[in-house]
Amino acid sequence: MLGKLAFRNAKRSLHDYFVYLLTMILITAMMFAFDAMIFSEAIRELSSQAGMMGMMIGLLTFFVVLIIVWLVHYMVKFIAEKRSREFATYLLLGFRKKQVAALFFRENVLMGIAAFVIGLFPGMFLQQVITTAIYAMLETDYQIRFECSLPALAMTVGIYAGAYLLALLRNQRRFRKMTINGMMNLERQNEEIKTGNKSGRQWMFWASLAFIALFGWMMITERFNSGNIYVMIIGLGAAVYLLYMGLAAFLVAHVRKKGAGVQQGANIFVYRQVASKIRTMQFTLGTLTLLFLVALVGASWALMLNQFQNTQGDEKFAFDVAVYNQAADYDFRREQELIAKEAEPVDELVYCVYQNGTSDWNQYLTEHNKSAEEYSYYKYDTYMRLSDYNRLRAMLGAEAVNLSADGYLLQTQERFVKLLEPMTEERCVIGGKDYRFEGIETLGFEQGGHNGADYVLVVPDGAADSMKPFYSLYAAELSGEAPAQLQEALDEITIQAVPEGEAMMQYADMYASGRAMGSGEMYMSNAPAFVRDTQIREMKFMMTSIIFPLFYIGMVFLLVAVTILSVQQLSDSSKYRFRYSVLRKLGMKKKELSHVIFKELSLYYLCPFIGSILISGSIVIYMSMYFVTYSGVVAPVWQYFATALALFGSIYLLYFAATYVGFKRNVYEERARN
Amino acid sequence: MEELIFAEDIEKYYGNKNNLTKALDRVTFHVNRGEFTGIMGASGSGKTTLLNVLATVDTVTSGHIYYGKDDITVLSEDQKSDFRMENLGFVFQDFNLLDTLTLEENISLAMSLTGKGKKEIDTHTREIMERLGIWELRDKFPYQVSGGQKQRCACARALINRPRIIFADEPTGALDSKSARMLLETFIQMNEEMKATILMVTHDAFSASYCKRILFLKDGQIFHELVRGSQSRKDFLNEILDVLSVTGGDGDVR
Repeated sequence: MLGKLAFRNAKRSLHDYFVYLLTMILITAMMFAFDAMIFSEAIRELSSQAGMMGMMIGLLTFFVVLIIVWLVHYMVKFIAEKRSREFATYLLLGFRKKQVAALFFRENVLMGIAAFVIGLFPGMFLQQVITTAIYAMLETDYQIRFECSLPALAMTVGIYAGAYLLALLRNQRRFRKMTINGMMNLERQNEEIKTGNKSGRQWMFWASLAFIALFGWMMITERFNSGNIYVMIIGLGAAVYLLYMGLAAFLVAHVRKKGAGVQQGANIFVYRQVASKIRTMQFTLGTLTLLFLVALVGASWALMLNQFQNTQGDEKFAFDVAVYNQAADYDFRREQELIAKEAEPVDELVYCVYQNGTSDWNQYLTEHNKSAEEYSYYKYDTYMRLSDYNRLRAMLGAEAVNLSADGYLLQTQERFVKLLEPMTEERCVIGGKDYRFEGIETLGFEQGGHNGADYVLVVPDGAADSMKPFYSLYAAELSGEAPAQLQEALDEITIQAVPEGEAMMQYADMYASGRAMGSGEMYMSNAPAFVRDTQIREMKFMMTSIIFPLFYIGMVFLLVAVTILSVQQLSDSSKYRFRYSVLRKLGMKKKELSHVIFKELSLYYLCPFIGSILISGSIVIYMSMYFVTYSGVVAPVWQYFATALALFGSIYLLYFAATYVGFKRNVYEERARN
Repeated sequence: MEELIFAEDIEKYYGNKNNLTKALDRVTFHVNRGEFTGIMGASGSGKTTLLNVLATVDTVTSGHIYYGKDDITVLSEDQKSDFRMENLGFVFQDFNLLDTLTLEENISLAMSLTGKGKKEIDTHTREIMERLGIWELRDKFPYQVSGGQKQRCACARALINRPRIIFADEPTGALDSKSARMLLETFIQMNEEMKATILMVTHDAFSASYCKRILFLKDGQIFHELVRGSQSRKDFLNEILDVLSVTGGDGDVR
């Protein structure tokens, strides 16, 4: 009998809390898909950096577990409260508390298992989608192969069951403390809190708005430092919670003052409903806002990185093969032989970068480029011979440029053009002779330490002759794709080529080796040899290992937040049906009532969303401004946020629509029954 | 007549030192086996609190409640659960039926908890349902039947374990007058034919007129007692109304 009861109750809960079930299914699917990434052969085959993705997913799993524990605990508590009278009935029938707790535990476990088992199937499918997407990003062919990885399954089961049990055990403790009388009155207590006329807390609303504005101002004007940033972040969290405490009071005050719009249509009803809901839900709303905030910031960041990996390959790794050596007279014969053996070079060039004993440009950049570090620039300013420059341009398929005998040009990246403009007005003296500035080129030119760090000055061959060779370079253009093992083979030679004792140092201390890397902080490498295809793939894989997990956590947070909003509203719609039937009796048409419901739901749904959009919006815009500076990706700063918002907003809208339909169904169904 | 319950000097306080509410103030009375007793009083007079402490749903602040020789105020949580299962039946205003179970299952669940055999449960459930006229509805779920039918199901559930006493808290509160009358007839049937002892809390004088004895509660104290004796129900109703008019109670007549 008890088994049957648990089963029937679980079935009813599945129906009543369908949105919760759906979310648990989606979370299971995502959890399984991402856990499978850690153990996936397909991913391991793809890159030597596969462990990086595993590490990221592992790290984020910790937060996912926390949020699942919170969701399950919240829902179990919520369902237990809604069913308190029923539990009291069990006790009156002579059930022991332990038995009721066990019954409820069993129901929840049944629900959890149902969500998990159903979730595994979309999970397997999602795993394939993600793998295909990663392969597509790395421009590699992938043959779909359904695999159910046992370690991934074990990991997912472990995490899911652990989170579930943790949440349920917390609830069991609560159960033990309840009395029959307490349970009987629980519903009534909930309602008592909701009615309130207190408007004294309005100041909290204004105070927290002021704090959030201060936070934004400090961020934009760069006033954060290690001393105040943590205090301000904690303050921001607190302000979000205070905002809702104040908002309820603000709405109540607005109604009591009979402010604008209050006495229009059923607005007074809507405002009161929303105010009382916010009052009882203030803590949850605050938490939801923070969840949305993390979701939006995470997704925007992921989009930034995606943009980076799509555009920066050409900039960072312009040549099919490029090799650096710090010795100016280095002989690249071994490298050339290797490349000729392993691949099909179409064109190649051995050349030098020159120095004039000056470091004006580097000093200027060190001082004015915010993203510069001590290892960003060489000891001397870097120059290149015009004939070499034009040969390299030809390799990249660009037209040759001309210079007058006393002219020079600046080859740099788009993001430094403005910054370097003042330097072009300074005198440029080479071998006692003045050179005129004749223009800026922003071709993608491998300027992360090879063809200069961030910039190189192109001078006529005659001027270069009077300078000292600084370091030597080799560039090659290949026909077709570079073989996978080329990078490794090159690395072996180039590391040997570094004088003994310095090889270790080159990797251990970038500055000491004299090799500069430029200031693109998003992805840097101090390897002497770059094979474009391998490097781009490694870079993309590294970015992908961050992008997908970021979306993962963003999605989980979003789903949890919308589930709680939705379940709250749907259960209210059943509990407070009578309110809507009163409105109908007062003469409200069905269409008008639907409008009231829509308005009420929209206001309630907008609360946490608007708050988080405002805060995360300013954080993301600030972040993306920095991103543009550091990464060299030129894109409007709001673009990432808008895309993230559109993506998550549509999921939000879907849940909103489902809630609205369910809400109306609950309200009208009961009316029909009455 | 054999004494079933003896409540001795019971008190129930709510609140704290500064704001103390005496819900029950030194109440002493007894209930005999086979009685149909009513407890009347205005809102806040303490009648539901009295029922709750008698039914082990709530605890007393001081005093003792004896069922025969057993003092229920000293029982542990688990002992109380067993006590309720073996001795008490409940009928509430809002039925408190489990909506995931059919009417028959709602009734048999109470018996299956006592560990009785399937056959005995089935036979007994059927017998009770037939007596209360709801056997035809056995496969229906609570939401598929009327309020009166739900309440009869609740009565059947209360009766199934042959409890020593049935507690009814405003059982007619959610029913229309016809259903209420039918339910009260059912109570009479339970009391007279099945020899069930019933203690009913109500603020409705009409419902109370079905009882054999009525205790009037005011400010947590018993201030009056009426016994129907051999008078007709109508006369008894008038007598109840007289008491209420003196005390200014909020009793109503359907």
